[in-house]
Amino acid sequence: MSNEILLEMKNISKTFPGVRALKNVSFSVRRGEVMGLMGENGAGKSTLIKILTGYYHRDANSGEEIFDGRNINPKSTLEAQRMGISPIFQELNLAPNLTIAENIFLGNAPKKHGAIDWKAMREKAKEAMRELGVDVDVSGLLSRQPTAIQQMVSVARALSINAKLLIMDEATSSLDNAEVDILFNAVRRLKEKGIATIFVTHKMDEIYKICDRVTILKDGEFVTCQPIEEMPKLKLISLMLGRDASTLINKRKAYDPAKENAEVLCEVKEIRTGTHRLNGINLKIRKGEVLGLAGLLGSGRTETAKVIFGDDQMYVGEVFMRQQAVHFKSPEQAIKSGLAFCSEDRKGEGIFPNMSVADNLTMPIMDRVSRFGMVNRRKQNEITRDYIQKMSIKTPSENTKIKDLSGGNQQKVILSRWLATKPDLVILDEPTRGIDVGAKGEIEDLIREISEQGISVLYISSEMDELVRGCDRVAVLRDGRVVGELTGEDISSDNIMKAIAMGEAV
Amino acid sequence: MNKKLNVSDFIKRNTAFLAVILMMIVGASLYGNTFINYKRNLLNVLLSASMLGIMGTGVNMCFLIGARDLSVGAVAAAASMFSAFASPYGLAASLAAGLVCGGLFGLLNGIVVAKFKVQPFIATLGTQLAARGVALLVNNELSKEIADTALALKNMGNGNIFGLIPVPAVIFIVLLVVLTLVLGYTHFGRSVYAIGGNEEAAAMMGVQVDKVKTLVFVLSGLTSGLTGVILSGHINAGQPTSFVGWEMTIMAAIVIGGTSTTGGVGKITGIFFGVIFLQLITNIINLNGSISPYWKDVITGAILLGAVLIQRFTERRGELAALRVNVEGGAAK
Repeated sequence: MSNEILLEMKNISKTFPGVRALKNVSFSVRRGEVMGLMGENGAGKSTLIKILTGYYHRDANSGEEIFDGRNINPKSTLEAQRMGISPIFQELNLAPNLTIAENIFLGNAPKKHGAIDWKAMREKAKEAMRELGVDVDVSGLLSRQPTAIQQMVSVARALSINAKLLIMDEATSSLDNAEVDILFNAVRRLKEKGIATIFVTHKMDEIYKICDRVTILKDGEFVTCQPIEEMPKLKLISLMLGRDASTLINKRKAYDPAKENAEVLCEVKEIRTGTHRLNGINLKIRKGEVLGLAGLLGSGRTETAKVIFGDDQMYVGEVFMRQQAVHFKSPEQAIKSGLAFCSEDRKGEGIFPNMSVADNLTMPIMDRVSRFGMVNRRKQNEITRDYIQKMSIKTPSENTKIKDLSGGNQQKVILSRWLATKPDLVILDEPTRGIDVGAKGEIEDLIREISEQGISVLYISSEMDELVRGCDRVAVLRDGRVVGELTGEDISSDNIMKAIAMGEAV
Repeated sequence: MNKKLNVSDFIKRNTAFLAVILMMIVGASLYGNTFINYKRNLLNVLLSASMLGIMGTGVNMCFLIGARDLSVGAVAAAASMFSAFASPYGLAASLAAGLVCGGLFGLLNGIVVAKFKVQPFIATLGTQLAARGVALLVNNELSKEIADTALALKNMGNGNIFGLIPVPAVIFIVLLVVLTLVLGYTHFGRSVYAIGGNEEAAAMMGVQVDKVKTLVFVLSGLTSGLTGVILSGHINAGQPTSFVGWEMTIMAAIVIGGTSTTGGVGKITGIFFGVIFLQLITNIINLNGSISPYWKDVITGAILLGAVLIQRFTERRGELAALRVNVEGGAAK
């Protein structure tokens, strides 16, 4: 690795309607260096990467980008690639129905008499893959290969068009450990040739395995850039989350020791999934308890909830409800068994935007508000008005379209929807995401009320303060495993971060 | 287990070929020599299959990029009218008239789909209506007889090479050979597959997606135009109400021929057995004479569903197998 600067981005800003995604961010990469880029959701990592790869354009008059000694402002991903900036995407941008060789050389295939020379192409492809340390049948279909090899093909393709800088955005998210090693070996080989890599990931260990330096962003701003040796885990995490050891504790849920002895409503044993998102999760949820799930993005929080709810299938493991083994094949079965799930993706999985508040609220209890298959409007409206009052939902009427309500009120409708099913366990995935501060407080209060009625809550949140305020117990996840459990007074941002950093399974 | 997978793989890849063999056996065992007699029976099967097939090669290209072309039948009808009008000036004039007509409608489809991002289904439905309208308007809803002097054109529709192979069949086979080479050995051909497999990825790889798509639709227009010209020669007239519903029959032949409905997978030659199979069914039912011809549709439909189910089934097996490998490989660590 030399000290020569390959890429220098200075004072980059990017504004979307209503949001300033990047504020004067500076970022630089040296030739042959592996640079880690870290930050929580909304930190601006992807925006920065997308500007660099020409997918977005930085704000006019904001900063400059110098790559390989030239001032650049790529108009398209294609243009960026031709300059030597090659992204290796999370979702692979390859054609699964073509051979490996073709995926490497499509567009600049070797030719003989004007026709594609398949033999020469195969030989060149074989050579290119071997240089990355992979011996593979290049005339086989890409789709038959595991993800790691597909990624190698991506890398080989980038190199065949003279890449000087590779960008790996969550490239390891669907790889297992052995596959990650293959990828890292290739990255190390490329380093020797002076090719630099920007490595975006949420997996802490990988940063320490492969990166030379790491840059941290938070809320669209540059935080720091330091050699990895000077960045112990705890420091890294607290910089990412932007908190120091003294977090204010206010309005905290009262600690109730009785709950520790309440009967176990739901128990989860050793859940694993096929994609290695979950690697043996164990949890117990007691009656009337609020159990928080903490952890960084990609630690397996949502995946755990989805497996319990039957929306994703586990590969091994067991789920018990009221001491009975259950295996929900679909959310429908889970709902019948007294579960409810508020998705983090409210727009995508939660609301029917063009239907009324009443329709949205009574969707899962259609059979209760219908007779002989006909919806009883009066009953539907009655139930809806009841919840509008109880949850203080601000809406002109129960027949207003839900898309006309504010985010916080939409969330309350969804919460009401699931409470109307009279569940025993409510799973809330990021219930306060994207809603304003006032509404957040109201939602937190509602969660507290729910648990006082004896309903158990599984509470997933990236906002540690929320978990500290609202949970009886917090389980800390990392890399698809439970790495810590905190109860009562022990629940604090500090302890959660420590648990993530220490990261040994309990 | 490996072997079993290969059997289903074989069936999947060769559905149409196997179906043709099956129909040959059925036909031969039911009607013996009447069926097998080449010059009196099978030659006609080949002729009518070829007309379907020529039109189908273009549509098959559309399938490969994951698109549909519903306009082909109507465009061919319009082309048959123009070629009939041009028939007094020789074969070249008829061909030019038909191909220009087809090519322009294809270009229209291509531009609307590629540049304006309209769904192919809707865009080509619009062209279908427009082209049918044009076909009916040019001669006040009447068919247009071709000139008596247009012998070459008549020969194109009715002639046989060495008295054995119908001219349209020769054209069909030449088209298949040329397109197979184009698809296998040119940048354009591989781009077609890349677009069908993953359009965004193809764009990232520098494929000029819009251009390739437009060209594919133009090709489809040209093959429809050619089919229209052949029809004029075959029936001695341009016929504005011809080819109704052909686009549907052709799509069935393509799917039976093994081209994926989502694009990116399939050989252009698949359609060869697809159209022959469909014509064999028609032939067998016609030979019987007492069965309603609508049975043809029932059987075609059943086979079509069967072909799609085989595709679907083998795809899912592949997915599941891949998942299992992934999991087991991981658990071993």
